[in-house]
Amino acid sequence: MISYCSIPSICKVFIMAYIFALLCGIVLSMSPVFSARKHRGKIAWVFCVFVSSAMLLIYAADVKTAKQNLSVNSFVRWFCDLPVVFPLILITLMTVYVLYVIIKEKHKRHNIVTRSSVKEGIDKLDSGLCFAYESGRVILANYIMNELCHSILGRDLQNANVFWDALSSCKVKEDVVCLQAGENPSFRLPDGRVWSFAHSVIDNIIQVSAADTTYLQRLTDELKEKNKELKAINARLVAYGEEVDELTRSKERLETKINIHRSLGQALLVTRHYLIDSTRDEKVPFDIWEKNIAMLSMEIEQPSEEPFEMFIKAAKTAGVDIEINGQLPSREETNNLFALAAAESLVNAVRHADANAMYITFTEEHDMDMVSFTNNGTRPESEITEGGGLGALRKKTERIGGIMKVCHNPEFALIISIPKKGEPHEANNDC
Amino acid sequence: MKRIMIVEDDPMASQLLEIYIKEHKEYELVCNIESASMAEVYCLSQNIDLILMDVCTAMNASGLDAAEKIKKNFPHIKIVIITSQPECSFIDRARQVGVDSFWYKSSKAEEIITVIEKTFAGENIYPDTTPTLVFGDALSVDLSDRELEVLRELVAGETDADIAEHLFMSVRTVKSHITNMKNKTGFKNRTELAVRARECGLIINDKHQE
Repeated sequence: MISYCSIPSICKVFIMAYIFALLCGIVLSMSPVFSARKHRGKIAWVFCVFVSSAMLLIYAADVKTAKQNLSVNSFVRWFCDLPVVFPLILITLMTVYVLYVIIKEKHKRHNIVTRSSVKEGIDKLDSGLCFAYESGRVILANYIMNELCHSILGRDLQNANVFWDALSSCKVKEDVVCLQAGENPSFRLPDGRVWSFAHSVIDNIIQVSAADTTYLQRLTDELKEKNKELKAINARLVAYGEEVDELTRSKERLETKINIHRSLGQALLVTRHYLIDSTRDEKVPFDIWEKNIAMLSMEIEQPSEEPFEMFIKAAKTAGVDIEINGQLPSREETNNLFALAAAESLVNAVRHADANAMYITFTEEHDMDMVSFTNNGTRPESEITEGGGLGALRKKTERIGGIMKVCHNPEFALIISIPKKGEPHEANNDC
Repeated sequence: MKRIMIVEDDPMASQLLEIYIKEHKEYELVCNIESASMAEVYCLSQNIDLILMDVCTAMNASGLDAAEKIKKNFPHIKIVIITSQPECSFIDRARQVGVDSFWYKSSKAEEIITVIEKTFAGENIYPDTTPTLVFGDALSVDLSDRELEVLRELVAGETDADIAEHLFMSVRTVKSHITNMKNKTGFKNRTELAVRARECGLIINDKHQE
């Protein structure tokens, strides 16, 4: 078989150049081989370095001695006389090994997450992210979070706890608008963008995240504006409804008046017939005229009674004396409710306590109109159970922001407080 | 003599009723009051046999609410509800609270007296149906019960979310009912729906009186 010594010089040069390139490749693959845990790869790498270096030296020695007609070392001679196929097989195996290491490394780079790839990844996020120890020392913060810290606080993100405290209490730069403080603070930056922040603790690690909520904020603002308009429309609608009641009553009155005038026409006709034929029964026109005169007399409308006038009149018929102290509230809604409460108290006083006197006291306290109802009847032995009447009264009271208290000790008392401005107050059930 | 009380805040209507009752010797008018909230007080002492009561009375007091309480505490007292409002829910509510008879005010005097007589005789007189109203391009009967419930909430000035919560339906369903009503009536928006419903008396906003 043909040996290395007998191949043409050009082939020898090519083989040597290839072995050199292979050696370079082996040296370059040192890093991934030695960073791996397995020793098998490291042994193979050392073997390859040794063999390829030895082959390069032997072939170089052979070329040099052949050119200068020098005596050749016996080992070099023996190796160079070996069939060239053996060194070629060795070279091929080493080439396969180097290619295997390079491909494996390339594959590894694409599939294994390193610290750098984590940093690179979170930097590319379109939201802000920061992880820190419980002490606040930052472990990892992405580019956006650092930028946000600069824009909102005007300094670097050094401590996540300090950063979060500043955000949640809205201690931010003057040109930043704090839209919401607390657990989910949000800010409008000078560039118009809105960022919302969240804070959580995961396995003793603090996570602060920031999301761009500009679009959401815009929609929320629009919705708020629309709701405001809707609320105004609804309020107008309710007010209109109340006016329509009056309009309907006016229509009814008009219809009644038309009927009266028709009736008058009928009375005139009947009277005319009676005058023409006096043998007819005179009671018929007389009754019609009496009815018409009664109806005409009511066309002069009497003004409506005030709610408490109605109540006092009703109490009088029930044989109950009413004693009132203090001034009636000026607000119509409150006045109506107090009159309803008075009627309810009166019914209960007569039915359950057999009372014949009722005491009503109106007071003003801060921004509240108050009324209390007591009576001289039997004192209740146990707590008052609210039935349909008192229950409905409580609902009405609370609907306009008031408070209702029903006491049984030392005596029955119904106390109602209504805010003057119609704003709801917290209930206090102490008697 | 049967003792009758009138509860009516419209002075003309109440005077007319007064005349009708005074014309009949077997009836005695005990009192004529403006607000249903005071009716129970009179029942305590006036030995009343029948109450002729409007639905919407002074001080925003509902005659139907008062009827419910009176029927509970004085079941022997007959109650006749009279109204000029064609509100679709009044008849159902009146039956629910145990009102003996229900009639519309626009009727003639003889009709009201007949209703009173029949009620005293133990009959329950109710109109067969509520008056049919023209509501935009539609008639009141064209609206479904659920649509009427949504319309009632609209008239009360509630938002879609509130309506959904009150009627146990989704906001999408509320919107769908409103759209259906707009399509049926030809009204342009929800406000017009609410205003027209209130104007024609299809819906009376007694939510705030409940």
